[in-house]
Amino acid sequence: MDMRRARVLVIEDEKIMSTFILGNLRRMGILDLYSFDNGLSALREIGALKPDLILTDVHMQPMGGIEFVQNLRALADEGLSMIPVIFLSADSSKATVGEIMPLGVAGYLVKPPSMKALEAKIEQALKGYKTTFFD
Amino acid sequence: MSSPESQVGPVHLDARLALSQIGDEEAMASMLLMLQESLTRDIPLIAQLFRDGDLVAANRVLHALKGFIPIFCEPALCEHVVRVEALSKDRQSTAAATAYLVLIPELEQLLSEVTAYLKAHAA
Repeated sequence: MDMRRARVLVIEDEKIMSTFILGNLRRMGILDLYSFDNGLSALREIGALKPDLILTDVHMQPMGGIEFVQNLRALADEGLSMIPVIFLSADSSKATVGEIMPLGVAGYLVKPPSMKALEAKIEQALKGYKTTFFD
Repeated sequence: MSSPESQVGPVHLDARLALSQIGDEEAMASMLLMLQESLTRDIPLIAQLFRDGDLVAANRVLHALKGFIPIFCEPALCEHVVRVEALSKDRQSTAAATAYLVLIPELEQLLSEVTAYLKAHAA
């Protein structure tokens, strides 16, 4: 799908990073945006919003990105459980990547992502690609 | 004739880099205000957390800083933050606290550069 028509949900608890990501998404022409500061808040609204793509941080309280995606994948509604997810994190440790890999995510970008990298990853995700980590 | 000191520009703040990553002057000014608020709050907060021995909380704040500081800064300061954050993550309390003491003046320098930039570019 055309990324400019996509509904994108951003889950990020750090105000500067959230502003940066949302700003770059708007620069790409993505205007149907929703923002949450933790996974639990996003999970509560996911059924109503039905986003085409989710960008999420890893470490947040009370629910981080990994737990959020585990809950998302467990939903009975495949239209929701299969929503592509791109992780954005300053944490590129083996342990964290090892937790994320089995979740079947569309990408993992180290913060702060360049607009070019973010745009490329979003295009791939909306076409249904799964990640090859750090590509 | 100006003194050599007056000719020295920002050491850590890279406004050109920030503008290229953020996209426009207005958005950049808004984000620099957020950075100013964050540094004003977090520089003493991290020091206090190290004094309290709360490495988990110190790491959480340093981790956030590590994520967004490359939007605004030259690589040397970013790498310095990465090193201190890694020490705090590895629960090396004395080493992390000592390394943070060295980082404080660098972060304060960044804060003063951000403040000066905002003052110079105020509408």
